[in-house]
Amino acid sequence: MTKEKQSKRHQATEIIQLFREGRSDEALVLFEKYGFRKEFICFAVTRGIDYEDASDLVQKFIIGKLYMKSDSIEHIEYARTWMYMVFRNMINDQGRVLTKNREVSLDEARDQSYEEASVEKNQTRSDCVQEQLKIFRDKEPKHAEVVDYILKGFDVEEVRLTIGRSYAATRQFMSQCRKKFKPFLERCLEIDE
Amino acid sequence: MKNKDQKILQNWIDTLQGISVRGMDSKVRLEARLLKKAWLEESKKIENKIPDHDPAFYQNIKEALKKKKDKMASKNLWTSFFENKFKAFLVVILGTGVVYASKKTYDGLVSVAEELNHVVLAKDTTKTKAENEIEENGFWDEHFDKHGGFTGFWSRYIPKINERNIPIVEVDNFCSHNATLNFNACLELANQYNSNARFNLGLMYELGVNVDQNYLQAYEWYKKSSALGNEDARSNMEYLIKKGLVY
Repeated sequence: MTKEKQSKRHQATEIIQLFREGRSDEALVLFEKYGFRKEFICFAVTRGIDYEDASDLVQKFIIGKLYMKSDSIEHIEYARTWMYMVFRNMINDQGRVLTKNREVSLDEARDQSYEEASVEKNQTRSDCVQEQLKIFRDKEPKHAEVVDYILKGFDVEEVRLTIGRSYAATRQFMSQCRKKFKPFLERCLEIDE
Repeated sequence: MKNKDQKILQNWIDTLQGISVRGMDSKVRLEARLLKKAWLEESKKIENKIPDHDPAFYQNIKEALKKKKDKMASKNLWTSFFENKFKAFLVVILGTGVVYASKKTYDGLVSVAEELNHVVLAKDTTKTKAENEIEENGFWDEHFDKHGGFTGFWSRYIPKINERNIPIVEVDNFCSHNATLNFNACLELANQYNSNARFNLGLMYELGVNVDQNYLQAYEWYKKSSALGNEDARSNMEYLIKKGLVY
């Protein structure tokens, strides 16, 4: 377990503990200090929500979930997992409202990115991977979400709790993530660095 | 999953999480590194668009939390009010129950006391008035005269039999024991102002011994006996009234 991962876990636990004790002002200070505001807004933005909506969503998340529902967490050591699970559900609810608008823009984006990926020859490998990651997010949102969790330092148990599957199924799903992203990546491997 | 796949997956996860892995497939390592790099750059780009300080963000939250707190406080007030009301109601119910139970217990005790005080044995009509007085007044009362003056311990040795106006009653008058109570014998003695005979007549009427049971007659005879100073007759009178046998 990396130090960063450990510290993020502890930080989330610390914040939840403060909310539980009714020390919401101190919890908010730590929420900002540990960079959770940016982290959650970023998480929402990568899921296709614009910054303003993402900011509002994080505010709702703090008021409606962290402040009101933090007592419902059974295992405080998995506070970070709980936070992501709840926030992901909020994004999904928000996403349902935005689905129609988003579908149009997604189709456009896909077409554009495919074209760019194939046509733009001056593109660097790094840019290409970023483009493909965006497409991967659009095409395989659930798998992309798990990739996000892995990159954020979640272990298998935490991912399992967040997506609500068994341990074996989670490992299987993680393996699928790698396999599903592979064809997206292969387009970029042709580009010289 | 096969062991090989398991190992590849674990290596891929470790590389994505920044843990160095030895002996890893170079292609998988490249995949993982490229993915991680792209993800980090993407996150960085998004985070750069997010302002470092957003006072409005926390201001909104604090205001909303304050409203929530106020709302919850008022809700708590109502809740506590209703809770207290409910508690008060419970206390009243319990209190009423306790009072009712106490009353029942008290009534029961009184009833037992009444039953105990209720004299159901015929009195000995052969005893002299003085002897009856000693028996009725108790041990200590015999050392005091009727005005309350102390007469000394010797008073108990004064032969009461020598006192005047004491009717001499036959021993076998058939009005002295429960087994031999005779109505006419008792009536005869009762007419001679014998309080014990009157008491026994009352008892006969009350219990229906050798005569038809009649509470009213019993009450009348107890009353007459009581008029002659018989405390047991008074007690039985009260018993008849409290039991609702006479009105």
